[in-house]
Amino acid sequence: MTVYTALLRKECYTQRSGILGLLLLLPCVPALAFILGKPEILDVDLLPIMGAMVGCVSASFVIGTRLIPDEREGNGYRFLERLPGNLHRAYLAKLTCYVLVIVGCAIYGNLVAQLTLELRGKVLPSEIRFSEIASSAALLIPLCCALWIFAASAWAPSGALAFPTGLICASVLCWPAHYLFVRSDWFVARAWEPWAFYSLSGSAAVLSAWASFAIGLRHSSSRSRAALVGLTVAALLVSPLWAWTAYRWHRVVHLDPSDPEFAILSVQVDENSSMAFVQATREGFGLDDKGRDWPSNPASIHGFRVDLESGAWESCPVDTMALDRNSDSRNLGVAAASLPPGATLSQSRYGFGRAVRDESSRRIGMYDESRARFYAFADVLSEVEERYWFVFLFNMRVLPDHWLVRNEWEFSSRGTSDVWTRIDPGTGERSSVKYLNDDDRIVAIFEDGNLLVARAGGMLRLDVTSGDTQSVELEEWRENALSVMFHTQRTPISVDSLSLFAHYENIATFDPSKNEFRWLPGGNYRLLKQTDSESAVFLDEHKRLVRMDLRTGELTALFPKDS
Amino acid sequence: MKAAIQFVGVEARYGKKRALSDVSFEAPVGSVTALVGSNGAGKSTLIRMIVGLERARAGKVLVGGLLVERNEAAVRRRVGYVPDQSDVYPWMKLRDYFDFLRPHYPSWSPGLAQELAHSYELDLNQRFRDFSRGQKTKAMLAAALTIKPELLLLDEPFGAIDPVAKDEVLRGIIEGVIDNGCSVFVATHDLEMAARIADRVVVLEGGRVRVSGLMEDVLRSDVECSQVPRGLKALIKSESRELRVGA
Repeated sequence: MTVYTALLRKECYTQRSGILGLLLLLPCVPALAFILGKPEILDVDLLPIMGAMVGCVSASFVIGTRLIPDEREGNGYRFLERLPGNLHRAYLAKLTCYVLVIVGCAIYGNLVAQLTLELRGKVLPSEIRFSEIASSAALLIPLCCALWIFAASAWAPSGALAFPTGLICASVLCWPAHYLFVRSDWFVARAWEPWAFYSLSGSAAVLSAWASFAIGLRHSSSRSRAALVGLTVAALLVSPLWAWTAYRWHRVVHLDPSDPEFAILSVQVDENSSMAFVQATREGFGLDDKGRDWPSNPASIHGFRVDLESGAWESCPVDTMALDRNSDSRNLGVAAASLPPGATLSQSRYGFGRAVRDESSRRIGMYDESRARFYAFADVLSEVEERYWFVFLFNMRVLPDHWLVRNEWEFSSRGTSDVWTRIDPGTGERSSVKYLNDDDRIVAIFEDGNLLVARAGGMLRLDVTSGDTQSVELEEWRENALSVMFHTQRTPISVDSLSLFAHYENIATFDPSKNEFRWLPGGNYRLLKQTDSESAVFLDEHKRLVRMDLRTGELTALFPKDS
Repeated sequence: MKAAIQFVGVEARYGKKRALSDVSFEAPVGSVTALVGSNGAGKSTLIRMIVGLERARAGKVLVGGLLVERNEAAVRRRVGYVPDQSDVYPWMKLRDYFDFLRPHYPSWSPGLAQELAHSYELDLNQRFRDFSRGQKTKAMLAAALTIKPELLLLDEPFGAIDPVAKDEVLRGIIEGVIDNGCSVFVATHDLEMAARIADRVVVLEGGRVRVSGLMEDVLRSDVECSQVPRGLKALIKSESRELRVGA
């Protein structure tokens, strides 16, 4: 027999009554349900896991709170200390005894629960069998709690206080670990983190108890010194948990554009294309591959004011720019700065076309630039309920002296008919539009008032006065996708310079002089603003702002600048 | 001469209270050294330092040339220690106690343990809580002797033993340890016992070594200010240490 086995035997002997009590007590828990005449409360799928948990908690309560206090209160540690094996080996034996009892009770509790289910004739769902969840890091939680109760028993003035003290200390000292099982948008646990957190927490508890018992109590030291040593070691050993969590939080609240995880959520370019307001976050904080999910924690969203000429940037509060979370309106490129000054109009969620809301009257309508006037829908289209206006917005176009409107969807059939209608917003006068078929879709308007129309799987240039059409060349075009192609600027197309059109994630240039569309080079670009006839500002893969030469496809990084 | 125990400028404190102050002495191998002093003089503290149960604030404690604070386990394997009060678990039977100690000491002899228990009239199946104080001391002494120690430390061992048994125990110590060339270091305020068995003496007063050396030299010395040497002198003059010499 070795020193270790002698010590282990001694621990098992001294705790024999507690162990025996646990063996007898655990089957009593389900038996109680039968005695009370409510066996149906045992018919829960999680019973085996609950049995293991009850076993673990009972063992920590019965054994964990006694192993060290018994030794301390009976001055037995003075006997152990004077032996060559000293307190270190004695502690190792105590720990081994404790872990064996905990694991044994967890397995025993599980078996009792499984047996109970068998007796109830209930088949345990295969997905929650104990053996299958044994590989889960979540199992370390009760083990960690049990170890902290053991550690607290080494500090607490009496064993009776060990249980509550252990749980309180575990929750305070290991506070960062709760992020692993409490959903948090800023702390998305990586696969290794639960294992690391719980292992570190458990190790801290074990080493703290060791320090308190084997170091703190030796040389006739007082119990308060032993408690102090144990708590100090615990605090030091859990400090990596805090440090790592603090580092993770620091990465949330501090973001540098040069960081590889820098991800742009939203960009607004000012009217002169000289300044951009960028909202960004770090990859992994809610931003999906399409950039459509925003982090719910405002702390993880960062604002930047960027000088597009020099690439210089400065942090600015996020709320200095309008939040535009509507995915469709992002493609419009209509900057808030282009709205009439003092009009307090907001694009808000009414992003199709140029719909705006008058914040003073809270009415929604269109801003007609040619008349420099706001027209509320309720005045012009009084028969359409407010909730259906968005339907019209998709097919509504503002021409220099009239609007073109078509109702497309059946559920809004209470409104105008499903043919194109010409409306004079000033007088409210209406007339049918002969040059447009019912299925036509207006893709864009030229500055001269003519239209670019998607018709029967092709693209036409339509003269509104004569009704003459010219076909437009489309490069590798998918006919059924024409309906989702739209002019990115929503402003009349210049008749002699390139214009940009979006089709899903792709951008095409339209050359009015040649009457043809050409795709821009591949890549996940999102148009932000066409700065002139030759170039435009794009968001590239949510990573950077680039200026693209529309004729050559050449890219120039604007923000962050290439290092 | 090799030292069994060596104290060099040792200081110990309990909080702000100074328990030992500048303690320096040597106990040669094979000697029987009595550590005498009144209550609170620091005898138990000094004994506990030898087995590493107390830590010196300053100075060094060496046992058989080993620095105690760095060789606690090695020192404890060589030293048989009998504390002044039993610290053995009350629930332990003497047999369990021996079995428990056995793996701790490579030199443990089960036969000798049983023999000593028999000679001290101890029941191997009796629990410590059922032993009298004297029996507990005997049981711990039996265990200390069973490891065949190089140094036997006795902290007030005779206080609880009846006079008849005391002689038996003393004889056992002398036969089992002293005659085998081992050293004995015994802390006591029983001056009679110190005078009977010790050839060296260390007198502690208020945590300081008042006088130390061969018993004869101490008795010849002129240290009259202390009550302890005076008492020793009186005892030795009257009884002439017959037991020690006679053994």
